[in-house]
Amino acid sequence: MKFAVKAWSKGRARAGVIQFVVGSRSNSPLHPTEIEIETPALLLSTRKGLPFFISPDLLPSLPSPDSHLLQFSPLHFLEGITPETISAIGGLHEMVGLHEYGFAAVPRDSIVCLPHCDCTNKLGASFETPFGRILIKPSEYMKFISSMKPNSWTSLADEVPAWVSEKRNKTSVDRTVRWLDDCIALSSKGGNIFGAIVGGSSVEERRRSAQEVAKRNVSDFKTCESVLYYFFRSFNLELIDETMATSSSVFVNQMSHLATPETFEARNPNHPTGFEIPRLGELWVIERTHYLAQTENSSHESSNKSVGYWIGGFGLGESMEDLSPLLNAVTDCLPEQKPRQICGLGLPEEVLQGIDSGVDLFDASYIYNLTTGGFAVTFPLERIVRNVSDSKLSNKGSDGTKINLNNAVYRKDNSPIVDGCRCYSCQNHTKAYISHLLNVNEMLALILLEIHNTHHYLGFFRAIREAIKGGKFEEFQHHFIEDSRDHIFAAALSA
Amino acid sequence: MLTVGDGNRQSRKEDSHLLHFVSEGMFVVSLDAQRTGNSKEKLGGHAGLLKGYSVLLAKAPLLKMETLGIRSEDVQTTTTNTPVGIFLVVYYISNYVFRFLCQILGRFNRARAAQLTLPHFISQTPLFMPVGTKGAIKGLTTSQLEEIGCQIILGNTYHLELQPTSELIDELGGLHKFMNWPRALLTDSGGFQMVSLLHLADITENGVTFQSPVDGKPMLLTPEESIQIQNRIGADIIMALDDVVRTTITGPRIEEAMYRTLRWIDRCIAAHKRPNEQNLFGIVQGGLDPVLRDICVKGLVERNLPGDQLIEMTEFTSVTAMLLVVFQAVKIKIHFGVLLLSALLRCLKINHDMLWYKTVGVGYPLDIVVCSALGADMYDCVYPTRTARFGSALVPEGILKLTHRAMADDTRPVDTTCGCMVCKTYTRAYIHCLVTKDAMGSQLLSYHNLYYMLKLSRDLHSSIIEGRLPEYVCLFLCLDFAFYLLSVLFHWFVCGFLQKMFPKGDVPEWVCNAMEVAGIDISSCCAPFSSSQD
Repeated sequence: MKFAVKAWSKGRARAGVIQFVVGSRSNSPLHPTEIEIETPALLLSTRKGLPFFISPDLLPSLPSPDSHLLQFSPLHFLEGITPETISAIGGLHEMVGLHEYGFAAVPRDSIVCLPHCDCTNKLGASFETPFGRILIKPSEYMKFISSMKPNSWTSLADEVPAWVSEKRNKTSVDRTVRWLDDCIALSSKGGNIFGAIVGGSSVEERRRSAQEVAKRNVSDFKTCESVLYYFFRSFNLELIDETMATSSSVFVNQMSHLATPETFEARNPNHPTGFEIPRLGELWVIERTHYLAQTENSSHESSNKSVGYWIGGFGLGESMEDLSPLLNAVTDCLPEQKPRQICGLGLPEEVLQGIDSGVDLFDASYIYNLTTGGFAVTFPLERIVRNVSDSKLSNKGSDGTKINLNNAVYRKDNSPIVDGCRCYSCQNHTKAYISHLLNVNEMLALILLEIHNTHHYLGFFRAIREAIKGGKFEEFQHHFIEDSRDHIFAAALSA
Repeated sequence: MLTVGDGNRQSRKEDSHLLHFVSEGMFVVSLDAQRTGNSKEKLGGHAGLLKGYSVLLAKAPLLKMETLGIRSEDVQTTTTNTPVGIFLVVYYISNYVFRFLCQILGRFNRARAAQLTLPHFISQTPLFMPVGTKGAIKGLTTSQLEEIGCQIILGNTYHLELQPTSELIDELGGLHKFMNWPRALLTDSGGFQMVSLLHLADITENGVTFQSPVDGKPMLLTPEESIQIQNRIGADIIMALDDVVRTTITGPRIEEAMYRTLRWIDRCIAAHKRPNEQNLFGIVQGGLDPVLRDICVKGLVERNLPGDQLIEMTEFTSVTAMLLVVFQAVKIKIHFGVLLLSALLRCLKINHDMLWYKTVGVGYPLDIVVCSALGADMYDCVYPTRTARFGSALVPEGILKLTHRAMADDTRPVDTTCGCMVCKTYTRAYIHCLVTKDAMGSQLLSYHNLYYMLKLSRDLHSSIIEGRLPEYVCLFLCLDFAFYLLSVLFHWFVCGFLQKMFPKGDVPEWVCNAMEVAGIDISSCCAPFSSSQD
């Protein structure tokens, strides 16, 4: 995966291009091709690798290549299918039949898999999922990643909501950094890692988290420390102060006393760091420099380094006002030439704030929430000077960005959701029909709404990119927020 | 997936109507995928049966486990507990199937492949019509339906009248425009839903009185009103309101219903405002009584239904639209085969070449093959999409239950012989982790199941055209283990049912006659069943 920034706005917002190789399907005539997607971009949310309601034969109706970035959660596959089966099928691309799409793995999907910070412990991160609360360890997570072979993946993070104590927040940053090292140590070659950044609603912790992860963007990523960390943690020796392990070979000795070579091998059948695992008895004699040399060698052949950053911990109770300072603290610490991905920012206003702070990739859980609620996004993609007190619009319960098709006013509305929209739903169906389908709980309503909403939101991102390239992003953002605010006022007045 | 277990394990209450005839130690073949719960034992039994089957039926060259799509790894248990049961199953399979095949071969000339010209689409029969109850097929877009070759969609008048109401559909330009479906549509009369879905439905000479689901007040649906509603909806084919009675009912009620249906058809014809755009199908009532069925058919034929208005649009000189309601009591599937065969045959005696036969509630693949062989043209059923939502796929082997744990690591396509988008792309393992949990699972399986049904009717059409129907039926039945089982089941159902009803073996003569026509050997029912185990 390659990334390059092409244009900057007056502030932190930037437009870039992300490139990844797709279509490398074994035993088929498909040749590996490179796909270029412009950023800021939307990663379509999926359930088990496919969009919620848009079946794969309808996906090509969405704008290409904008729609070719998909985000999935490996946690969705904890039930029903094993990593071995996924490997046997040939990875996620083969399994879901989307060879020309890029997949980004993120543990949290912001919809059904949400972090549960109370149950997260030093061993792994806890999530609320459709099949109960689960604790996932870095090793389990990496097993899924290596079986699925996504185009990029995010390290496991201990995400905490905005209201947790300072101490808990600090722990979450420490753990997330540690798990990043673990994940890297466990990862196989060729993966593109997005290092997770957390820090709750504390600017200092956010900065610290970002700095720690930013340190790991160079080729000496796999330091001796991280390898040692992994060894210790794989033996559950966490009682030892973790910070001490960074530079001392004492722990290696301790470790060799506490663990037998058998257990070591049982836990590490194939050490995935790319070099030979020393026998445990010899471990302590291996010089740190030796490690470093080995690691450097192996990192030359593999692209096992953090190619980007994933900003977690948002959408968990922080206020809109806090968003910009927190994001700015993070992005200021990150190298410019690497992509930044975020989870939990959904509303168009939030997306604009994120872009304003220099974030490149966004998730689409907002579309899911809109769709299942019967909403269709309608905000204008080009700024049109309108009469905001247009009573017709405000009467329809619209806030200027979306409409609720459950509303009875659309019962007889024989027009498409958005006039002139090029999406499949608007080209073929009317508001009246979708409204009827929602009314009688037909699945087709959700299919049509997800198509439209995705199409429209991709258009929103395109408009943003144009604005950045034209040097007008700040105006775009300003006008957008002003327009929706005016709408809310107008609606409130007419109510 | 077909499931097989032994009689004791499966004899739960809900299965009783399937299994009551099974004595201890017998193997039971349960076709109804929805009713089967978890069970390793069932799979074990299944595999065991297959094993015994392939051994004992070694003479039949086509019946290899490979051709049935069963891997030897799947065979988990052998047939330790009930060898007698297996033997009987095999006996029934071999005994029955060849009888069955011969029968169809003999009646090959009744099968028809035709072209049905409708205002919106020229369709090829035999054809399967997916059911879009509320103006949409569950989980598929209209473009997908066109892609998989769907020719006619069925809409339910009752549901459409409740929401969004026929007035609204009319105002927005008719159902075709409303749901953006360029091909043909069919609506039913609404009477059946009122009787089946609503309590307190009362049928009088004037019409069907029912309790409004909106406010609970009594409401009346007359034949005129039913036609008016359907005129507003604007489907290519509309149905006359009939007096719906359960086919299980006997006595004067059947006769009353038959004559009332005939009187109502006149009212329907008189009320029909758009005879040039919509084709009215009449309905044959008369229960199981062949005399009543004959009277009803003759009565409808005499009326020369407005379907003959189609002359201008079709190449046929005389077109009379007909609906054959063979089977309204959809729920009692046991009766299905008997009723269908006898009723179809009765009606076909006075066959007019261009009568259109549509059967209601016919949706299992085998039903379609059988009905087509006997001369029926159109079928509709919610079965393919509903069973998909419960996680079952229609495959040539029968029903593949993708919810089963054995699917979790199966990397084969859902149906190895299918060319649909789903089978080309996805493995059973992936569908297994989607079904019953995610909407996409239902969508993908519905797509496959409908594709399968439509492909089946297309194949029937072309095989009839090319004069290959006998071979096709043979191939279909021979290669297809499930349909062996199904035919056994059918036979078995009938026998078991009769045995339960007439434990002393005093089966009425008319039933025996019907069975003879249908080619079902019920001799085992005329004597105590246990003797057949000896």
